[in-house]
Amino acid sequence: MALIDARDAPDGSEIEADIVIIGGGVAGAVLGRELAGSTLRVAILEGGGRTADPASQELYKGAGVLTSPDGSERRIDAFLTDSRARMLGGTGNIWGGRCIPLTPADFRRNPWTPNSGWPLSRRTLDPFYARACDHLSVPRFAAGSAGLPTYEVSSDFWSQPGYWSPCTGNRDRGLFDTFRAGHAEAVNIDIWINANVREIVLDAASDTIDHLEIACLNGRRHTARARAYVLATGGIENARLLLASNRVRSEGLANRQGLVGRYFQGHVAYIARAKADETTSMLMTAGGDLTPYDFPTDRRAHLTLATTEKGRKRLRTGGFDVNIYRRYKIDPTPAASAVTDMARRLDGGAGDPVHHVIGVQAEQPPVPESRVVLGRDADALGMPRVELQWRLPASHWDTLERSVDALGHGLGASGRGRLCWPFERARYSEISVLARHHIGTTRMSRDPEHGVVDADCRAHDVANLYVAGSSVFPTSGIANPTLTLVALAIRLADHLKRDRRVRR
Amino acid sequence: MSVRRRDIMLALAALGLTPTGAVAGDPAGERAIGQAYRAVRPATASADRLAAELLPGGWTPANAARLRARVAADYRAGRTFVFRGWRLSDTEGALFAALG
Repeated sequence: MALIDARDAPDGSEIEADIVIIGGGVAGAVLGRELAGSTLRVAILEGGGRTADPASQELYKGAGVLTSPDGSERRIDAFLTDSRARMLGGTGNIWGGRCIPLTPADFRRNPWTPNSGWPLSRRTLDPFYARACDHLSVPRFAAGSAGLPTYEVSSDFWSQPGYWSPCTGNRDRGLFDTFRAGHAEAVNIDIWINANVREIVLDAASDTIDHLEIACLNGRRHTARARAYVLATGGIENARLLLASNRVRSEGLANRQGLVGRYFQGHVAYIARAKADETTSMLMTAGGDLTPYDFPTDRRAHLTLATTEKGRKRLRTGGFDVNIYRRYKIDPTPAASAVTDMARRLDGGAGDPVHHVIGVQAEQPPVPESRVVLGRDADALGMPRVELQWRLPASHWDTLERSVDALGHGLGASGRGRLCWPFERARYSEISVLARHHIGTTRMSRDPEHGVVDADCRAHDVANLYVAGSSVFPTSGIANPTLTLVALAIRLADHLKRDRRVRR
Repeated sequence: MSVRRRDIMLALAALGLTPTGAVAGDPAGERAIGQAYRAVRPATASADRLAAELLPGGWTPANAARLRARVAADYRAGRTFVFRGWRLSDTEGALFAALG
């Protein structure tokens, strides 16, 4: 119906809708797109504006520490602002666009991974993955490697398909503008920008949300009321807002078990390129031309070798993948040249071996000590700033090393290449790259004792509160989370359309 | 140079490798890997004895395939060592040691 700037609305405006979606990022946009044209009145409240604004982005500032399995600590304050975008479209504005579904194994409980297992299966999510691909303008994933070329290594690894979505602020701006705001043209949708939800106010008697308090940076204050509320502000901010909504309950909202903010997970990639030293790399002796793996629309190679479920069981590891990059040049060392010559003769592949830089990712198992908490400082709107205490358990590095060895052995055994992983644990931190993924802080569970939301993404403790985004993932897998959070948002939209408490 | 050592030189030449580093252009890498292999497997025999072990009965056309199979078996069994990050089989290490 409209795109409204909350700063221009009369002070004390009261927003009323059937559903209020807090957050106009990717999850919020997909919910809006799915609910557009329905009989439900929907208001989307986005804290930022249409464009980046330093004053708004400043609200994301906080303190962050990443603790490695060896106990070493690294300040990552900048991660809180650099990995997020507080504006309409959210982090979709800076998203790389990589779409990969979680595998069936990612949803299952592994005996060797505490706190693993989703309350729903990949099969349940499959139809929503298909629709998610449509939203993000990528092909729907076919079975297996989706018809893309494979690079066979061993039964421990498979060629995982991935597509690159043009629907990001980094790629096709026009397409992304329609994605993030086009649904405001529907008669039942309002998008409010510069509308920061500062507190979710609970009606203690009914265990339901009574209203939202909204603050603008120009001083105006508004309220919003609805039958149902969807919290969709991202994996860090979702926890922050629930914890800061502590007027009625000191522990915050939906937090009777003390789980809000816990189990924070991200994706850490490891990659090193150095001229005079060995490089994290893979020598491909069975055809190293990555061109067949290019996604047709943008020529980005996307050959990814990931561990299979069989491999994970054998190795007792979490998810692992290696991404093989074409865009980096390697200056071969004498040792690399010798290995190349030896492997060429022994493997007998057609053509010359090709040496490519690789980046690897190992899944971070969920641990409760890895968490988002409220800091002592407050932001310009009076909300406590966030403090991220990100802890990587030892099993994260175990997964990394066992999988690297298995890949190296698989390449050599199959005669399809060799692997170079030239780093010891003491240097992992310096070659680590933090992806902009924030996962697990409002985890999904069947029962209230082990999670914040149920399989329908509804808060266990608050009847009319739903949560969207990667904060509901119990485990992170190693796939980029956007496609999965979009699939879950579509599933949630379907649920809301059927929910009698929401329908008028 | 014993007969057996000469055999392995011929075999390696047939595989495209020469002890002079003619293929790689720089023998330093081969030598360094060979030395590293000897360091982690101190019981490794002399170059001549390695040659005898790698090519028992002397050079035959089947030896290239046999070496490849042996390398693959090493990787499958985890008989490997690491040189500057490179995951290499013991047989490859022995070949480099024989070259060195």
